[in-house]
Amino acid sequence: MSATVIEVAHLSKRFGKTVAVDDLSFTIAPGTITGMLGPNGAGKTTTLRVILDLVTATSGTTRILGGRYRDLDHPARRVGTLLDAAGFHPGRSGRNALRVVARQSGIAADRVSVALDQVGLTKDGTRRVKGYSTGMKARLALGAALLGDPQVLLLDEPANGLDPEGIAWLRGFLRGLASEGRTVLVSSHVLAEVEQTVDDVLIMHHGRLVAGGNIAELSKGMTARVWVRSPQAGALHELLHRRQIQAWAQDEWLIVQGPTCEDVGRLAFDGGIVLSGLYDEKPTLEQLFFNLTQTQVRPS
Amino acid sequence: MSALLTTAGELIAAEVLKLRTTRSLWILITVGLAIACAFVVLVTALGSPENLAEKDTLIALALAGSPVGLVMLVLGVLGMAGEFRHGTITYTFLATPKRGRVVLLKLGVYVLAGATAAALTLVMMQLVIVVVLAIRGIDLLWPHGDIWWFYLRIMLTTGLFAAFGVAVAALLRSQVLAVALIMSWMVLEATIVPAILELVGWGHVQAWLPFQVFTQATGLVDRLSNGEATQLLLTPNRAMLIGVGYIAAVAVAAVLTTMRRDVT
Repeated sequence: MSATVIEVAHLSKRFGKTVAVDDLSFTIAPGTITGMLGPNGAGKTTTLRVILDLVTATSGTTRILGGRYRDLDHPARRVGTLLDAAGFHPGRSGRNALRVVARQSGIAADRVSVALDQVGLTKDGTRRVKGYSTGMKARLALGAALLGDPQVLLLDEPANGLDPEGIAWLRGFLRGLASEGRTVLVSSHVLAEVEQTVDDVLIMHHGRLVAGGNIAELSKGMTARVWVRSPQAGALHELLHRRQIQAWAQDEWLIVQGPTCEDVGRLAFDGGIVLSGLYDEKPTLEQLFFNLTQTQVRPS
Repeated sequence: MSALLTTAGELIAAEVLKLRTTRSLWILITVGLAIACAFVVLVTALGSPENLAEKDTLIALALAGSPVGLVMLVLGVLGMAGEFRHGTITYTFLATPKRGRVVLLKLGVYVLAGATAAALTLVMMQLVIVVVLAIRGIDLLWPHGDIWWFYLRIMLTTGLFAAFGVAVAALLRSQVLAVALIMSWMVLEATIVPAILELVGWGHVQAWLPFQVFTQATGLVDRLSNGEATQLLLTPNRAMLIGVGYIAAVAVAAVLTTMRRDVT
């Protein structure tokens, strides 16, 4: 396999006057699970659609598995996709809907049962799609993506419509796919959904790539926050302020930006301040995103 | 080449699966059959024995199969525009990114589906005619062997109707818009358009209008007028060619737009 599975180079896409994607470039290495993150309208879906030859780029190029998607032999067998706008005929059963997708993709019919089993829909396979809940439809779409047992998966907002239990299931499911050595590119606007799952991230904002790479590396330099509780909260706040340490109150807690837990504990001890709670909060993907897009984030 | 044939085979098999696993095909065929058979029952049950004993009775009654053409046209629209409506077109284009092939193979499958539906209707109508006339004690005079040519033409024309529906729907992508446009044009073609053409002295162009062309392609009009209408109308073969030309023109426009449009 080549060093990259997906290559996007200087990709731009305009819809009339709207710039959906603006000079976007990135590569995805084989066997990684990459999160494409950004708010609604960041250009994530458009990028995936251009890679899949559903949308024509205004400029720039995309390659997947070494060529254009349209030039791949039996592309739907090699690249599994879950796209928000893709749907199923409501009058067909879930099993039948997957049979149609399998038949037109040249995928063996016995893969339908396997895919239904993988997404936990075996029992509901004979029910009509119109009777499915939003979460079941999301699982069915994931089943369609897995039909060809593909090495590459492009998943656009796979958690949409899933309840908390479904999202937890999806996390485990994605981890399972990654452990099998598959390459997964998953887009999401809910950062917490993919934070525990992805190896690398591509952070997009207004159609541009704001940052890309390993989360740990991107988080370097981001300071942890320390949550501290004290019956002498006013005195502690005053002490931190004198030391020019940024802190703000939330409910019964003070949130301290900069120093470590140990530093805050020592400061309080030296100042004769009693603490009743102290823990550090690691930088989250959400903080990282807001930092990168220069939007201040503070707990309300 | 063999890869292309494999892909085509997979697509055709998928289209057939789509067709036979949705209720619209069976509902529409049942409706078409019911209308055709009801008409045949009425005519054969109430018609005078002298008229019914004529050798062209079977050919004249074949006209009752016309609603199946309309029904298959609607099926063609539903089969193509339904893919856009339900979002299944995304899976179709992901499986076959060369979109022109999708439209062309769908056209072929619907020609076959239309022809099959017409054959089924004609067989059912024959059965009804034979049974009702036997009950009434009227001997059915079989026309010359050329009746099979009429039946073949009716099957082909019905197939072309279905393909016309697919082509228009591929161009417009909206079920409602496609059905509304086709039905409106049919009404206009039967009412206002001929009047306007007569008014401007272009009456002879009427025979070239799309639905006139398809009607003439069956050859029934020519046969039932004993060839007198041929002076004014197109010959069945010519009408069939022009009908294919209309579908080809819409299909080319549909393929070109389908290849260029973004699927969002």
